[in-house]
Amino acid sequence: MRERSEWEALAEKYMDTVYRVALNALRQPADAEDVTQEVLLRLLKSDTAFTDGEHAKRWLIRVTVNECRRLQGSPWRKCRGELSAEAAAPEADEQQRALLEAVLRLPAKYRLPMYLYYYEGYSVEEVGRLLERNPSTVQTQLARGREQLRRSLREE
Amino acid sequence: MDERNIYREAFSHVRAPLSLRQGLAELDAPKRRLRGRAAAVLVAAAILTLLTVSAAAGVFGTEIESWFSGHWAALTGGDMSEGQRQTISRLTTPVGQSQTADDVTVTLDSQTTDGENLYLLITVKGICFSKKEAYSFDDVDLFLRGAEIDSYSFRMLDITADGTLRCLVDACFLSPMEESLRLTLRLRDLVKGPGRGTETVQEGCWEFSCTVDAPEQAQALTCERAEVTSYDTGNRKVITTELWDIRLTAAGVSFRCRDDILGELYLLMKNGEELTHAGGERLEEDGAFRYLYIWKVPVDLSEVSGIRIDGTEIPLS
Repeated sequence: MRERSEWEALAEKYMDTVYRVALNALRQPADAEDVTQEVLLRLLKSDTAFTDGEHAKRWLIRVTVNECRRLQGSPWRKCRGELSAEAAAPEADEQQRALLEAVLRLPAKYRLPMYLYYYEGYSVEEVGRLLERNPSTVQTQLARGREQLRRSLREE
Repeated sequence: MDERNIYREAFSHVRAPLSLRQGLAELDAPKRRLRGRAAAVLVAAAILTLLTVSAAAGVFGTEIESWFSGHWAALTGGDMSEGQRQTISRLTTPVGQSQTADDVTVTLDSQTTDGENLYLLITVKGICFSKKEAYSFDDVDLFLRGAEIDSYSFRMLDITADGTLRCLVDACFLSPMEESLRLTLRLRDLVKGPGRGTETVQEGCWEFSCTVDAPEQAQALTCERAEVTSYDTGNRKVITTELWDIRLTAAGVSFRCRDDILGELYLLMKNGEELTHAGGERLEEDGAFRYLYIWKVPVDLSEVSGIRIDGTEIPLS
């Protein structure tokens, strides 16, 4: 079990990252919230010693991705609905919501590589390691995701 | 705008909800999860469509009996048998408690329990509900004294011809009821719209308390052990594994398995009908997994032949 003070500092610092990764994977704010809670609990219970903040962040992203996979394959998740950018970002303006909807409307296989590469700033190799995908696959997914996003924004 | 800026803009206001941040201090003791909470609102429109068909089905007994009857017709295309009607009637107890906040009256209409699963029918009156909207409550808290549950679900069922909103709470007990239990249901703020960040229709708190009695004749079909072939989510491969303590009651089924399997579960009726469940739980216990599912509609056990998990049929007696 982690020291409470260390856990609180890490949770406070990376909670938004965990939530955004989960939102990219699942698209539903309520599901992303559930996953965030679960991941932070696992952080509390874990004894993994982090060398620095970046190490902690990568650990959290990997745990979040796995937790999302588990939830996506779970029959307990009763149903999914339409994407609501308003629910995900109530303070965003209209343009920001439109962009959020566009990126979250990308096919699932492109969403996380695109988010980790463009928002979190990880390299192709790092994205590959975080998602357990080959760098060449990530490269292809980024190219295709980029193309789809441009097309989607042009149509709007 | 290049992709980096698109992402920066898109996620600039996406943050973990305040409730999660505020609840950080209590995270190591999370409260009971409301199963499928937001999803319940979102799926309501689809259910409404389904129920437009089912509304034509026969009306009888209490509201919940009428709804189960209509839902059964929508799921199977046929009418319930007399045995099933009698089973539902036997398991259902009218409650009829109402609370009004401003002009909105919420009623805990009835409870239906087979001693291992529970359905609560909620009706809401007092405002003009739109059939195009999905309604829910911002907070649904279910407390049970005398029975343990892991989670519960809340979902909107339909809007009746007279404009009443009907909703259902369901839950699986972790062990069969041995005596009466005390139930408290607290609903806060009626909301509409999909997902979190929904629009509040009526602020207020509606709270109900009642006793739930175990049915007089608790019945179950069982099977001590069975082998199934299913997908193991832990090892990500198809495996053959053993289930034990398989127990099917009028409103649900439970079993244990040492593996974290992900299988399609069906209730098999003797007349050939196959029905899916309304949701369930998976719990880790003593190094194994325990699975509990609740049926969409309670069934007459004399009409049930067993269950099927993926391709494996398990006869029950």
